[in-house]
Amino acid sequence: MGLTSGAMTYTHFLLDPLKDGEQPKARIVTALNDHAFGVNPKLNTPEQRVGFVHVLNPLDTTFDFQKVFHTNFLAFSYREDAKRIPSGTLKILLKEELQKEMQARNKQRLNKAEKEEIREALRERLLVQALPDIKVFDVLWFHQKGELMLFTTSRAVVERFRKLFRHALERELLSRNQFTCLSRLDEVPRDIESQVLALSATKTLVPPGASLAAEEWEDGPGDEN
Amino acid sequence: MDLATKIERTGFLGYEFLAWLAARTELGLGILADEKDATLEVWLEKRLALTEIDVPAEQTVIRSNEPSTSFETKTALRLGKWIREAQVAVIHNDLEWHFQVAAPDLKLRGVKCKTEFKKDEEGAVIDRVAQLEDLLALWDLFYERFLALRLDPDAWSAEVTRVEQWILQ
Repeated sequence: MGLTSGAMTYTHFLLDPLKDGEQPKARIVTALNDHAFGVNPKLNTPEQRVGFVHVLNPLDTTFDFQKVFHTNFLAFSYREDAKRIPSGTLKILLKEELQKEMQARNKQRLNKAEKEEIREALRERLLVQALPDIKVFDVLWFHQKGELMLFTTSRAVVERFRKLFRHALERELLSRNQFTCLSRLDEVPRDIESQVLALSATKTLVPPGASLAAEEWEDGPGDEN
Repeated sequence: MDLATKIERTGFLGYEFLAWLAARTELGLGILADEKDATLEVWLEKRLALTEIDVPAEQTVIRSNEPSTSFETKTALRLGKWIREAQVAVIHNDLEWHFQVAAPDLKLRGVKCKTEFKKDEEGAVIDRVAQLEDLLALWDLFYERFLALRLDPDAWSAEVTRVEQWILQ
């Protein structure tokens, strides 16, 4: 579920905080409009269309300051429409199509290239008729802190979003984890990263109970003997 | 050293952090104070998944209202398993959150906040974002507290002794 209802599950990223002023914000609104769903033909294929939409209305593809920016965050959604022709359907219809073509061309057989050409033409025709599977993933961006959440954990969706985000906003998204978050913590030493890495160089990954279990194991056979 | 190596090398931190939280819960040390001295309480609830680091597929799942008190949890820890996933509850002032966390990267999932949100959609989004932001700040605070202990050899040694005593109880 996303920002509007239900439990919140998301992929968490870090990125450069947004500088103060109207210009960076205006640039974001422009980038969202330029990469809104359905607007940029370079983003689309016959099977898939992607782009940004309004967080409360996946059919709204126009952005302005008020729609996007809130007090300390901005919110929008990433929409993916996917069309797919079921392989069984394509197989049956292709068989019929090949028969028709053989009759029309007055041929007993079609070569591989001809079959492929007919198959592709049929697939494109069917894709135009097919209804898309619409998926919408909310995006929450704490622009002053430089943290962004995409409300999905699907790796494939995350990668496609990252690509579009990089293309649209020219910003890299870095996954937030136990190490990358260190630079964003308030109450830690400045050299926290090197301190933690120094710790890891000497640390063997022994669970808290493992040393105890080993000691008991050493005692165990002794007792039996 | 590239970033991927740094992340891999510090992967143990998430596991230690969850073990530390479990022990604090059980030892009655789950209550912390935030920077404004408001009460802050954290505990593990309902479900824990424990695994050996190198064999994540072989996991022990403990389902209980208070898994930190479970004999099975301590047995798994004594056998060298780590807490890989935990269901966590946090209370701060009048707000209560429940969510799952995974040790390898400390990512949160399924965040729920027990509070009334505004009826209109836009108002609800603003409320939910504010609650999520509060939770993330608290979660960072827990992690900061853990790191402060972890980087202080004497303090960490005392904490490890407490954790080991808890596991042996």
